[in-house]
Amino acid sequence: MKNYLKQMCRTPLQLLLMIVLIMIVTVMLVVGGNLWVTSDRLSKTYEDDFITIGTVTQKPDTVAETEKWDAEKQDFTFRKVSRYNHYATVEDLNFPEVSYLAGPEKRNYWGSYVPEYVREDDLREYKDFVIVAEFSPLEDCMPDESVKIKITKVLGESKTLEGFVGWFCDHYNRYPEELKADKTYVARIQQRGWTHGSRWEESGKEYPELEYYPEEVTPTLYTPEGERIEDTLGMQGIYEVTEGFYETAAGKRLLAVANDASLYYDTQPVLGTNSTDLLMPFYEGSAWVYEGRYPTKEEYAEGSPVCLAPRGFAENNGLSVGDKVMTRLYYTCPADEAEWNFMITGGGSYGFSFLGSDGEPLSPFEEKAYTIVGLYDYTPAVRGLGREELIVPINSVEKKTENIVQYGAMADGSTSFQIENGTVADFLEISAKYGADNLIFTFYDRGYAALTEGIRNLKNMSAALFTMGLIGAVILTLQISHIYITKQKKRLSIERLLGMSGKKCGRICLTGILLLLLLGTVPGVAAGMALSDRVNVEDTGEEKFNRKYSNLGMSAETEIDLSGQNQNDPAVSCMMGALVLVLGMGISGVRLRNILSGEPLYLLEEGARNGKNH
Amino acid sequence: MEKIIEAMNVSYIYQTKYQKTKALSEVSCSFERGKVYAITGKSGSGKSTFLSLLAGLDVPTEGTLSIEGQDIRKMNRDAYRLNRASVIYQAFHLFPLLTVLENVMFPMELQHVPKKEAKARAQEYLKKVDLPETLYKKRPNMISGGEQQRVAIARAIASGGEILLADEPTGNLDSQNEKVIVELLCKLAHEDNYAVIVVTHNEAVAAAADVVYGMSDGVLSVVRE
Repeated sequence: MKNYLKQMCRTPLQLLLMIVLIMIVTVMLVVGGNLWVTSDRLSKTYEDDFITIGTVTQKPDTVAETEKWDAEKQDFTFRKVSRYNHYATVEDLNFPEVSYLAGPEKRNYWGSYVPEYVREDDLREYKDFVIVAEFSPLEDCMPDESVKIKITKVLGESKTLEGFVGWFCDHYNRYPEELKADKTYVARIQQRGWTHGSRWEESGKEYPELEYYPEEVTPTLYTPEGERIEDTLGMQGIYEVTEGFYETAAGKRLLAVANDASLYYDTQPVLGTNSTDLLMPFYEGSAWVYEGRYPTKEEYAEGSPVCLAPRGFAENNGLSVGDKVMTRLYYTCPADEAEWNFMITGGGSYGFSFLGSDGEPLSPFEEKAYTIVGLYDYTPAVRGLGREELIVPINSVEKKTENIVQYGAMADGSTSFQIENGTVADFLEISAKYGADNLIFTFYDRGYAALTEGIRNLKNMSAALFTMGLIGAVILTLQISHIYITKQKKRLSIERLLGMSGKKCGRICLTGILLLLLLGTVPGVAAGMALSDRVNVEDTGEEKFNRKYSNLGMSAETEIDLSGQNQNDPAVSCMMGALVLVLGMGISGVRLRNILSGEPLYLLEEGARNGKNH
Repeated sequence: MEKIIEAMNVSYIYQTKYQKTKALSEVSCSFERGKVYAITGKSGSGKSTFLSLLAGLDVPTEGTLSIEGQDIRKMNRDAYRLNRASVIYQAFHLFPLLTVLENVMFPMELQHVPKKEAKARAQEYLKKVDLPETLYKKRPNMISGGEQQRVAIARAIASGGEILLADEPTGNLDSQNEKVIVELLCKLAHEDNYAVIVVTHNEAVAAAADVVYGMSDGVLSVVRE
């Protein structure tokens, strides 16, 4: 052994170089191995944390221009309106090759008439904005500008405005009819615009005041296919109140309409979905369940009567998790999200009527009690939620298309689905194959793509390091075995000729090489582990992975803490060190066996012929 | 004289993937203690192969080679080389990193002789081959070829065996050193009762031997007895 070690130390620089090279390849293997394991662990750990959802917007087939008279401008105003020859349905999203994790769904929200609950924002405060009232002008006038009228009678619940003198204009009528001061008129009027015209200017008031416009009172019902149901009555804006007017169809319609606003005051929006992850406020984290739980997949699938209730509504009505909340659905709205009709910040407006096709106020078509399984809250700036909106499994509503008061195409806020992470490109390819060119898909992945890109880079780097390390280790161990075995065959032959057994020769050689390898691998493993920590952190850029690069940009939790993932795996590091040892010993063992199986005298003669020293 | 080695119809065939070569053909002879034997012959005649069999590095393909009556096939041949038969080479084959003294001590290290005793015995063997004491701590490359061959002989006898096998021991030496080495080998045979078997081309070496065999195409014949 001493002889062999002396032989190894005969060329100290070469020996030192070998040790350093072993250390380098070990470092490469350890860093490569650790990075691979770390990146693999990261992938698995955060796979579940990421959710990829897509939203869908249907492109209009044409854009039409509609004109509307504006009395103030004394001209038409034009507005571009999207026209659809065919409304896309969720069936159009059922591509055979795509397996959705949730959805696709085109959500409705339903209006639920629940006067028994205390409302966070009492809409009755706005009751005088829209009324059905009898009025007379103060003088004969043409209402093509702001004229003064006196409200003589209110046909609805609130009588506040009886006797009120205010401004009025048949604003959107190109050819309004003259109003006579000695006559009484009735109309559904809405406080909507600002005063204008000569009478207003003559009044000497410094600031404009609100004026009332007459509004049409026609039902706005649609078929499930999106066809508007025609109103056969043909209502006009203003009617003169004559004897027996309220016995006419128009009179009866106005009497019915006079009370329909009270429906709105007591309406709570109910949103149907298949997963809260498909709702942008929940997906992005601006809404969350603070007590209880989310409905389960099974509850969504089975349409169980469970719901998530908002904090304010629950607190105002003393409701908590486990309590039941009543719903009486009376209209369906697949167009606008509830946030437009029931604004989180208070108030709201609606562009539809609450009239049925018979001209009477809508009545509930489905009545159900839901059990509250979770209470949710939201940030003040939340988008996509209606005020006091209940969230229920879409399948829990049986009559999903009853009393459709407004219809709309698929839009980001109403249509979404969840697919597997990392399959966006596949999805787009498939959707293009099926000719879904009229649909615009927008994907949100919470930064999954950015993180996986980072992880992929980490994996590529680790694979490159590992491969280079492995190739280096093979070359190096071949070189070591050449230097310390093949080039020692004469010495080995002499030792064997002197009586040393082949086994002993082999044992001594391998022990020497093992020592050499250990001198390189042990510090190599240590250095590799230290370096892996640095590389892990530096490669991901920061210890916390920021989701700001996702499509979303807003999230309650925008960062993922990676610091815990940067730990080296000592087992992996040791395995890499062992790999170098096994490789070195294996290659050396094979070389040694070839040498020792040779005939010593022949080897000596061969050495002498080659003029090599031992 | 007592026969120490006896070969009976020994044949040896080198077998490769493509061909068989008969290197030795029915060689029969015997070697006794106290004598110097020379085996002469041209290159490729089979004499080195025969020496290899005598050193226990291989076994005959056919026939019997026995050491004091024991078939070499049944012996531990490593132990045989370590304790009974030593080989001396034309190129000396000393360990360059060991001193002269350490080279001679090497076989005793393999025999697990205590270091102190091995050192004393090594010094004794070096005296026997007339190597000046001033060279004991020198490395082989610092001494002459004749001196190196004397160290090799000292190393050969250090194992304590009674068979000395020499493969062209004077091939790398000048005539003066050649004479010294031949005398030394004869002295070891005649005074210390070694069986010395020398494979050589050298006629002077052959002339000094007690028995001369000739080898031609693997066939051994007695030249002089």
